[in-house]
Amino acid sequence: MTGSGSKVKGRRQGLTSILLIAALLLGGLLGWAGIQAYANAHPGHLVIITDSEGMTYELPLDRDAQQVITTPLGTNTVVVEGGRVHIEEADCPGQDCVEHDSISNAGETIICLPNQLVVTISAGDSSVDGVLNTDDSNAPASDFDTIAR
Amino acid sequence: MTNAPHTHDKAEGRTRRIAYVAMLVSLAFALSWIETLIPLPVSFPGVKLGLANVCVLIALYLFDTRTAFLLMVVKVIIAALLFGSLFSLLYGGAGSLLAVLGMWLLKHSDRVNIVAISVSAAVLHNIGQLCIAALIAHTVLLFMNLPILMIAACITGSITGSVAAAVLKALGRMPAGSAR
Repeated sequence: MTGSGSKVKGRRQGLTSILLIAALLLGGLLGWAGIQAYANAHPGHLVIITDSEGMTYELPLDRDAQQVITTPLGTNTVVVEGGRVHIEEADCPGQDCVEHDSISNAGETIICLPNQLVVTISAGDSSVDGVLNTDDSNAPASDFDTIAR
Repeated sequence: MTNAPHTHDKAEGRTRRIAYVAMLVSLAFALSWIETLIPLPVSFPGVKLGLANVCVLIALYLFDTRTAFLLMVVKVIIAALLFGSLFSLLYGGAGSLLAVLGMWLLKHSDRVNIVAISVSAAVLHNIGQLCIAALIAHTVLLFMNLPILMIAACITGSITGSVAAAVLKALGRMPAGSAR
């Protein structure tokens, strides 16, 4: 190909490239904004913790509490404090879950992959609202209970 | 490296290729390590600079997708063995596979430049990792992290893509016309 031909091609490539990157960036920003908007419209009420054994723990978000979850994979300490949830301590190698910012809105999650622990916040009064498929929960939400799946 | 003549001697081409791949592998290796020393302004699980991908991009442009793929495989295995775990091998593997696939398609289409390929590969890498993570954690809620990872990938991918473009330029080959 000639020199000027490759220059024209380069310019066209440049434009398409900028458009592609802009589209990906916009997609990310819109997705993020959507999640924020959803979270703000749905204040959380219930903390749902699922461990690697399939056990589900529910804690009310408005009451300070500490829950230590131990499975053969490891131990995590989940703390509810002032309407926010974070993982205080974990024996996983990465410590991503401990470093994760505390969460407070419905749909937000903290996940410890090595220990396969999922902490999420639900807008409903009990896990029956479908955030997690825990099908056998009819316990009162205010109770501190453990439901085996 | 700077020898100019385009002698398309087959044996010489093969030797050059072997030498380049070996050099890029060790470079990827060093960059993976250097990356662990660079603190990022944000700490979010999955957000990485991905410096070693500069080598993969260079391989893609200097050689072909096959070489880039080979480099990616070696990079993932070495990085997991040295700085990670079985988990990083799984995540890295799935992410890299998707990323190489995307790189191949985009390079083949010849419509976008190396920076856009780098960004797309970074986004695909994140998607691949999230898929594995979601499988392991049994929750699709992990995909809530995708938007932030995508934004980060646009930034880190642009950086690594630009570095690769600069390196290719310095090597005397314009990214646009480097069909070997």
